[in-house]
Amino acid sequence: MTAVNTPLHSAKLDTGMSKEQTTATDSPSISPDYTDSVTGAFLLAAFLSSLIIIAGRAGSWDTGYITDFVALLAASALIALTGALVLKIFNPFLKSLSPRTGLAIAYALLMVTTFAICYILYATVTRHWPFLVSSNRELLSLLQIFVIATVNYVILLTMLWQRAKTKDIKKSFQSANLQALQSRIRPHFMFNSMNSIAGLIRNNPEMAELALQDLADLIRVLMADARKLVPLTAEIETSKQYLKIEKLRLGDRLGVHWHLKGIPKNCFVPSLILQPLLENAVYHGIEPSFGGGVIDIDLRADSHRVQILIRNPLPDDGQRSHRKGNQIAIDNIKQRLIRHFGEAASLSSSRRNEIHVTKIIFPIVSNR
Amino acid sequence: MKILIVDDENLARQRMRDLLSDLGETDVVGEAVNGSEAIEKTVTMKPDLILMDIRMPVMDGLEAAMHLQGIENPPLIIFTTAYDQHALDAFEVNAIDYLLKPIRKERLGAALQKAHPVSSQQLKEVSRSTDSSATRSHISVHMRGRITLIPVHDIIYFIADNKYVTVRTATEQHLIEESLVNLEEEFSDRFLRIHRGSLVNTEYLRGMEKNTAGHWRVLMKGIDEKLVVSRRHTPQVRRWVRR
Repeated sequence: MTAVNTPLHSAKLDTGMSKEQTTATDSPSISPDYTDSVTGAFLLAAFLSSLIIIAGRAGSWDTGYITDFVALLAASALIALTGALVLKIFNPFLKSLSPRTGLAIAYALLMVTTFAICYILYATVTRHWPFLVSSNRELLSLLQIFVIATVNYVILLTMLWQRAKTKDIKKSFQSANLQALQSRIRPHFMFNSMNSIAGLIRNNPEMAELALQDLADLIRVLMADARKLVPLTAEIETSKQYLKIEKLRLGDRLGVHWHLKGIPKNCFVPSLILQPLLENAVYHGIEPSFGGGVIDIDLRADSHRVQILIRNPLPDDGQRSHRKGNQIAIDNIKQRLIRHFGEAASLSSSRRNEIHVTKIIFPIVSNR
Repeated sequence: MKILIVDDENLARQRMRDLLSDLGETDVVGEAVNGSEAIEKTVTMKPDLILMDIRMPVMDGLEAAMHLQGIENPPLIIFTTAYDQHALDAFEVNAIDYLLKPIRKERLGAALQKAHPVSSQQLKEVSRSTDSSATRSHISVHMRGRITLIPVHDIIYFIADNKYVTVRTATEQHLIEESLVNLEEEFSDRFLRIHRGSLVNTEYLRGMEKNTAGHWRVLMKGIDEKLVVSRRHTPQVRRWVRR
C-alpha cells in the first residue's frame, strides 16, 4: 500500500513531450510562436543567400568581390537579427491576436523594419539610393529588396504557422492518448462496485470500509500520469486491490491464484501494465461465464528479466457474445512497454483449449 | 406486489432487497442470476414486477425481457444498470423504465409507482441501438404458459414449413412462429442458407454427398438426417464444408 500512497519515483519517459505540454498549456488556441529559435537563423540564411544571388546576377563579381560580400553579409545580418528581435518584442501582442491578423501584422512589422534598416544604411553609410552600394558599384535596387524581403518573410511566417499547427496536432494526439487510457476505467465496473459498497454499508460496514479504500487507491493510480514509472511491487499491489473489488462483486465466480516467485525489489515498470490485463481477463473470461473461473497469474524472474503469464478460461461458445474490444488496452500497454524498454519487452497472447494466455516479458530496470 | 430480483451480483441483489424492504415492499418472491433463470422463475412464481440487471452471463436482461413478452400477462419490468450509455439513450426514447446503479431509494420508490408495461417493439428498438449485431442467445418456444429456451449454439438447423419453422437440436425438435428470413438475418454469422427453406448451423456441418438422383445433401453432426442443398446454394455450401 505504501507504494501507492507515497510519491512514486517517477521518471519522464520523454522529456521533449513534457516540455511541449507546458508551453502548450498557456495558449489555448493555435498561434504561431514568433520567438521560435529558427527565426533568426532562417532570416540570416535567407537574406544572405538571396541578396548574394540577386546581386551576383546584376553585375560581375570580378572586382571588389570581398567588399561586396562583406557589405551584403553585414546588411543581411542586420536585417535578420533586427527582424528576429522585433518579432520577439511583439510576440505577446501578436499571440493575443487571431492567427491571421497576427501573421499579417508580423509581416507588416518585418517590412517596416527592413526598410528602416535600409534607410539607416543609406543615411549613415552609403548616402546613395538605390540602396546597398559597395565602395565601387550599385548592387541592389529598392524594388529588388522589396521582393526579396517579401518572399523571405512569407516563407518564414508560413513555416512558423506550420510548426504551430504540428505542435497542436501533437498535443491533441497526446491528450487523446491519455484520454483513451483513462477511459479504460470501465464505467460499468466503477458504478457496479459503488453499488456493491452501498449495499455493504448496512450489512457489513467493515468490509465496505476496506472496499472503499481499495477503490480509492485504484482510482488514484488510474488517474495518475500513465507515463509514470512505478515499482513492480506497486503495480502488483494495484492489481491485487483491483481483483479484491471484483471478487466482492463476483463472489465465488471469480477465483484468483497468484504464483509470485522472487519479485525483484528494485524493478520499475510503466504504471498500469498488469492491472488492465487482469481487467480484460475478468471482463472476457469470468464475467460472461455462468460458473465463472479462475485467473492464474504466474510471475517468474531471473537476474535480468521478468515474465508474467496470465491465464483465464474462456466462456462457452454460447456465452461469448456482447464482449469485445480489448485491443485498445493491449495496444496501449504494448506501446508503453516498447517505448520504455525497447525490443527487450514483449506482450503476446495465445489461446489453448479454451484457456486464454497473456504473456508479458520485460527486462529488470532499476530507477536509480 | 410480487417482485422478482434479477442480477448476477450477489451484493446487488442483497441491496435491492434491503431497499425494497425499506420501501415496505416485502413480497420478494425470488431471485435469479441471469436472464434464462429469470424466465424460469417468472413462469413458476408469476411475479407482478421484475427488477432486472441488463448485463448478465448466459442471457442478458434485454433478451430475457423480449422472451417474456410472449407469455400471457407478462410482468412489468424495470431495468437496472451501472452504465450502458447506448441502452440508456434508447430507454429514454422508448419510455422504458430503468434505474441507475448505485440505486437510490427514492428513485426505486418512484419507479415502482409508475412502472408500466413494455412492448417487444420497444425492446427491439433498444437492443438494436445497443449493439448493431445484437442477436439472441436463445430461441424461446411458448407453449401453454410455459417457455422452453433453446440455446442458439445447440440448434442444428431451422427448416421452414408453411407458417412454422422447425428448430432442431441433437435431442429436441420444436415449432416456432418466426420467419426464416428474419432468422437468417439475425444469425447470419453462424447459420448458412442451404435451401430456400432451410438454414443450418455451420458449426455442425460435417460434409456433403450426392445421392443417386444427383442432388447434393449435407451431413450434420449430431443427427442422421441429410438435408437437401439447392443448386443455387451449392457453391457456397461447398466452400463452407471445405473449410
